[in-house]
Amino acid sequence: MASSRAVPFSLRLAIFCASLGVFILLWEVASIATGNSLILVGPVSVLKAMVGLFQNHIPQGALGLQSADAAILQTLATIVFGFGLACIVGIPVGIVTGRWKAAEAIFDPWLNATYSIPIVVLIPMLYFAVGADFFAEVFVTFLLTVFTIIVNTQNGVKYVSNALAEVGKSFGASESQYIAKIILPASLPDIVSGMRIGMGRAILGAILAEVLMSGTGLGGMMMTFQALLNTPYMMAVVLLIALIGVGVLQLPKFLERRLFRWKETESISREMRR
Amino acid sequence: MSLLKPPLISTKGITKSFPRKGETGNADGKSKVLGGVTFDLQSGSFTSIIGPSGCGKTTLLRIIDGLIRPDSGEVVFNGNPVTAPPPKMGFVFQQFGLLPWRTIQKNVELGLELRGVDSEEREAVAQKYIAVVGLKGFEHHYVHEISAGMQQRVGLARALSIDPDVLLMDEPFASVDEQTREILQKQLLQIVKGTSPPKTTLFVTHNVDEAIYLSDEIVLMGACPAKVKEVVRVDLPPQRWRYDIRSAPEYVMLWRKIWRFLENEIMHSEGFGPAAPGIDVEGNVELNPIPNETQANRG
Repeated sequence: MASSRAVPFSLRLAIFCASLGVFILLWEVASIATGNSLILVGPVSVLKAMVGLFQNHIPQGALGLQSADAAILQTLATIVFGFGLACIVGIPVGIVTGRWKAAEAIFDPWLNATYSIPIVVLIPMLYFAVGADFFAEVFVTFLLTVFTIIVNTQNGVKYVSNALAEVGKSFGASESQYIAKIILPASLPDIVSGMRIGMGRAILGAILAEVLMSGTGLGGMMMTFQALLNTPYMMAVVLLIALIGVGVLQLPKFLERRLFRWKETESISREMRR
Repeated sequence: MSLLKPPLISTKGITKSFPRKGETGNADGKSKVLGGVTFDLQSGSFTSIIGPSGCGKTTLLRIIDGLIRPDSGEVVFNGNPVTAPPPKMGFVFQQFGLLPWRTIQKNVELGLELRGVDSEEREAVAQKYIAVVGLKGFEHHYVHEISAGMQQRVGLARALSIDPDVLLMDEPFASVDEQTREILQKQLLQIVKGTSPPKTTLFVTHNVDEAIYLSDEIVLMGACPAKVKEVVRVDLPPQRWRYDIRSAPEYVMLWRKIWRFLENEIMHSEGFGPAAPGIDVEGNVELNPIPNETQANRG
């Protein structure tokens, strides 16, 4: 029957490993069956390429390529700075536009318009304006991330329950106290969920900027191997990007676990889930 | 004697309309809930406001606390017109209004925290009122970990922690089960009558038993737009929890009077037509007793 207990971590890990094993096996079989490394490379060759990357066994033609460590570091830095900046700017903007109708009326059309523009088209302009330096790439990452954070924060702030607003007012909270002690904690779940989506977009933004601007970092490396038709090395870089994604997405998950112990959702979902 | 003392709170001709949603209704699209509410509240008294549901009782309480402004009329508290929530009023909300991310202790501290009381004093005061409402040992629980009845006791402790002169309570026990409610009523009475001076309390309810059990005075409000129809004194001993007051003849008479008033207001406003035969508007006609033979047949 449906169990009311949480699945223990060890069991979840075992299930994940089993699913990973089956996936890798099917992948290898499919690649052997295809027999064309341009269409599909198997996990074994990708793993070999990965090892080659870290031992600086760079394939022919890829001259002047960064070391894998340097590329990872550069991409990570772009993600962290772009995402960090998006939080620093996006959360206050979200609070202001969520709290005051006038601010929402002023900013919302601009935000929505900018949100709809494919940021990619701005990249050449940016390239010619400031060049392909680190900060330009951080800026692209920031642009792709910030709106998600603004919109989520805004929603959280806007829908703080009227009941809590009344409590604040009745006990004589000033505007700043009300924001700090009621609005912010009440909308924190939405802010963090915005960060979670934003983090995914930050990864995308950083890779995009590297592909289209400097041609360095993991994005640049990926494109170099693609141009050389070296699929195993390219897939190795893709795998690295995926691993970075898994890694950095732990931050919002960690925040959720630490900050929302007061939430009761767990006790409901456990009962309802099998 | 109370005639010589100025009232602690006066409401003078309070009116309030809300925009009506939908096509129907008055031409101006507003529904008037309060149609000129005037009454006085004496210091130290326990007063209930009772009336048909949807007649603006809660709105009135919010206006008295300064949470919303009346369209016309004014509230005077201690000689000053109320324009914002006065520091000496404590509000207990129907849906408790607790902050789910805070522990019980931190919830009770909220009012003091907003007033800039330092953390040591805050803790001590909160502990005191947590003990008063009987929640010692639950300080570090989160809101969802305790029952509805306990949550409302936290709401009461939070209101008491700021040492208010007036407690405003908006159907505080409406979302608590019947059995717990009886116990909470008794506890509330002991708390507000036990402080010196006793807390002036204004209590909104739609429960006749609750109003009589708790109050020194009951304000009867009519259907929309509501006005004060009558203020009824409850002449029962102050320490009611000591007596079986529900079987006292005064209690029964009062119950009938208030219920007939309510029934009449509801019959009129809800379109049931004129009040049922045998009940006059003043509520003076008694219901017929159950005939003897019917009682015998039941046995």
